[in-house]
Amino acid sequence: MNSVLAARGLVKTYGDVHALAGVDIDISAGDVLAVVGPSGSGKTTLLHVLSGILRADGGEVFLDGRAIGELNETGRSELRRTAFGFVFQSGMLVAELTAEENAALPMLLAGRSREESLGAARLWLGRLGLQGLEKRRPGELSGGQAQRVAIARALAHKPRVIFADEPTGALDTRTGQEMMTALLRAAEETGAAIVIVTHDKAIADRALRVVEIQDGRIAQKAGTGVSA
Amino acid sequence: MRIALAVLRRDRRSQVATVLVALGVMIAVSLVLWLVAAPNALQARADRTAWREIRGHGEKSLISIAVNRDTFDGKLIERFDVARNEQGDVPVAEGIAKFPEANEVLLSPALADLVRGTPAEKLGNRFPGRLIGELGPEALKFPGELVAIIGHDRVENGSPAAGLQGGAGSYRDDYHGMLYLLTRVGLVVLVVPCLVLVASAARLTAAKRERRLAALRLAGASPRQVVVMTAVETAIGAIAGSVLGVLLAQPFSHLTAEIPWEGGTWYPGDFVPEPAVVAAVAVLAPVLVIAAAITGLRRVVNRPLAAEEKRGVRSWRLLMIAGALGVFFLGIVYAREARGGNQFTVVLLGLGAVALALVLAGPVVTAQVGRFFVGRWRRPSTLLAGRRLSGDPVAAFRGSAGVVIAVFTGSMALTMLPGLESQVPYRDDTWKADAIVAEQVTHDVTPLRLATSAPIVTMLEGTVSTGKESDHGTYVIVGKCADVAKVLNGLSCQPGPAVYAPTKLNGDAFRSSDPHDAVTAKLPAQYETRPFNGNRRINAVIDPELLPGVEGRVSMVGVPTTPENRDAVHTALVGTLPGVQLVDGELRGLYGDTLMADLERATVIGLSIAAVLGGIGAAVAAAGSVIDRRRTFGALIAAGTPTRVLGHALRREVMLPVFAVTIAACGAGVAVGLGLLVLARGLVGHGEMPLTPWVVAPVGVGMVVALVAALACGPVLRGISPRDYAAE
Repeated sequence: MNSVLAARGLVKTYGDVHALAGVDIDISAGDVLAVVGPSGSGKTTLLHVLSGILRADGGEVFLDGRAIGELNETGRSELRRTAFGFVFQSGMLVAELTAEENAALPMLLAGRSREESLGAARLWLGRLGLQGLEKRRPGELSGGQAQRVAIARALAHKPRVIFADEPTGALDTRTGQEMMTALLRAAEETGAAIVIVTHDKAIADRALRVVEIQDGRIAQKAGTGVSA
Repeated sequence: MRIALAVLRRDRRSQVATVLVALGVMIAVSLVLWLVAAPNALQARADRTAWREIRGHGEKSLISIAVNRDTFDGKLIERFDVARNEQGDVPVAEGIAKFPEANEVLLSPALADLVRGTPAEKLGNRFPGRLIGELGPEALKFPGELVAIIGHDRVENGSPAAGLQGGAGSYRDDYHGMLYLLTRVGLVVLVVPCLVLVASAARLTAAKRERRLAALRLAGASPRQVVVMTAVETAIGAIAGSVLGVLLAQPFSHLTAEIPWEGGTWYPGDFVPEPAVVAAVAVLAPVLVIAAAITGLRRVVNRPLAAEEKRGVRSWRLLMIAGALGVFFLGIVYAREARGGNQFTVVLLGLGAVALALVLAGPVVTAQVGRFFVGRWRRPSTLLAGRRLSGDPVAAFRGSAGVVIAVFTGSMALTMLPGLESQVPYRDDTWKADAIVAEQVTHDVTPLRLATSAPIVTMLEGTVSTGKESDHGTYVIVGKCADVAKVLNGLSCQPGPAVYAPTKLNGDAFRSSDPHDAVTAKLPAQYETRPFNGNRRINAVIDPELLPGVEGRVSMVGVPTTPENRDAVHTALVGTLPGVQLVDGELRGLYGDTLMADLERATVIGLSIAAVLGGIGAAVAAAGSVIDRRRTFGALIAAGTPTRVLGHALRREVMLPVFAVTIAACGAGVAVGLGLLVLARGLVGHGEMPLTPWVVAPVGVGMVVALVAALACGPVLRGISPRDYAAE
């Protein structure tokens, strides 16, 4: 299998608690993987380990065949900044920046020019239906609009993998579905893989594949054949 | 209340905030107690030395007393020549064992030690008589002060007094009230950084608390319940800090007692404020902190959904600086005319208003600086800082307020110091530095001629006028030019009798200055006037040959000295002419240098305290702003933002408003300093107003303090985990 991101035998413990107890996973380009499971099952820990936010206590994560566990903190930060994109619950936008500045932030931090970064941000905001809202602050946007800005931020630098942690957790069902549609379309355009951690079955149902985590292990895998 | 206590028990950040509030209040209470004790300390000194103020004019004159200052080895000696005029008990102050009769001497312990360790002809002979005891600390200004009370049969030029009794002294008269003004100015400008520090600590987790309380309001909590919760949360830290502050003030007072002022340190008890003041500060400090916390929550109390709103600022706040400066200068005008206890009230109110206006106008400047950088950013850190400054200027500026006040104070002090130096009394160059001059001489100088081989210059002081009552005349001295030139600066002699003056004298009537035994004479119709520019005190020198009838009359004696014979001449003058007032270069320099050193030391200490307080306040506020935005920073770090970029942005957040507002503060400081200098010049009666480039130095110091404070963000930022975005 030609995986963009692969995990082998991931183990992560907090004291006596096994958050991850030997997880194997493969994610290819354009894949949409939903990770579901009860609270405390290890979903968010899996996302953190896959994205390099946390180091695994055992096992390894590979990006394009390269072990990211070998990278130091600086290297992993750069990886997250360039190869990965993130969509958090409630957007987690910088309150003081405008929508376009928030979307441009990863590119600016990667050293791209102001013009290039803002240009890419405006392009993605337009594609996500936010024309005319570029100069607004997060506090002046609705929850759905703020999440679209977060998607634009995650996509503007053309990442290989997008990680979404409960991206619709703060939205109503309809807005959540609209946001999900926007995310899937955008990922399809760029060929990025998506890893979504969610409690919402309706959201999980729109993924191409679903894995259920229980007690730190993959309890069930399913393919749903979803499209945007 | 139970909810508030539960939050405090479980939330680590609330615990940290409580500890910081306690520390802030502790420092503030200690400092305020010290500052309010400073005038007390001056008062305690004044009370102990009240016996030195000559009383008894118009009353029973039991004694005669001549009060003089003397020096030895760079140390000031306070000298009191006394003589009994009538029989009976002479009242004496606490610390003076008994009134010294003729040939009896009382010395302070330090002077007694010095006399014992020094040859008599250099020092001991200045105090002729039998040592009958030592002065107690109750009669001394400071430990180690050199004081002598010498008893005589009679004191030639003494003033009548009712005794050496104590009473309530008044330090307000020292240096023409300048010290009183300076202690009040210090109190005003140091209290503001204290308040900023406490406010910064109290607002450390304000954003989180606002959200929590807003949630409680939305869940049905009444405004009163929210207020009580806030009061309880804040009161725990504030009360603990206040108690610790009062306890800390005691050892602190011993430490500050070691800071010299007017030539000596203090007795530890001097810096203890009155119990009522301690109680008032201890109660008021926590009350103010609680009130500040509750006031800060008024938006949430009134409108629960306002917790996420940003506060804008109005540009008219800038006008407050101009208004406050107006009040201050009105106060200057009033203080120059008024007298009494309220003389400086409007000035001090104006000064406080300027400091407050700077703090209130700061956010306006901060917002403008933010907008400037938002329009011109090239790097993400500049963008983040610029947006933060323009988006929430009140929060962004809050921490900088202490530094801004420190810069304001620094510029004010550096504007004043060079001017004060020129206003210091006794700093004149009338007489040559190596000359010792005895004034108010009514004695026979023969014993002096016998006691020393040094040349003796005799002079007679007086005025030359037209003789009309309205003409106060020109102040002159009569003496042989060649002799007078040995002790007087700026006099260049030629052979033959003449008047040495800037222009020909107006009038010909000479009258000596001795009020009891004045002598008069007339200048001839024709005499030669030779150039003499005069100096601070002497306007003209007249050769005695031009004033027949004054020969042999003496009211001043000058002696040129060498380093080798200086002490011996000094001793001979004091020993043979008891009660005379000596003026010499060492005394003049010592007095002026001591005052300037005191002012400079007080300035350095005051500015250091202001800078440290401002820096701590800025550091606490900067750390608090990171804590408040922990989740956002966590998300940025999770998305790969290097911590150094965030650190850079945070440093800019702190530095940019400080840079802009400190320039305004520097300008206000210079304006206020010049105003105070004008007032001091009015009090002293003379002085220059030089302005040096050093007045802008506090801006640089403020930037360094702000940078150091901003570095406090580093550890807090490094403590943020990328997983913190999911916290709470």
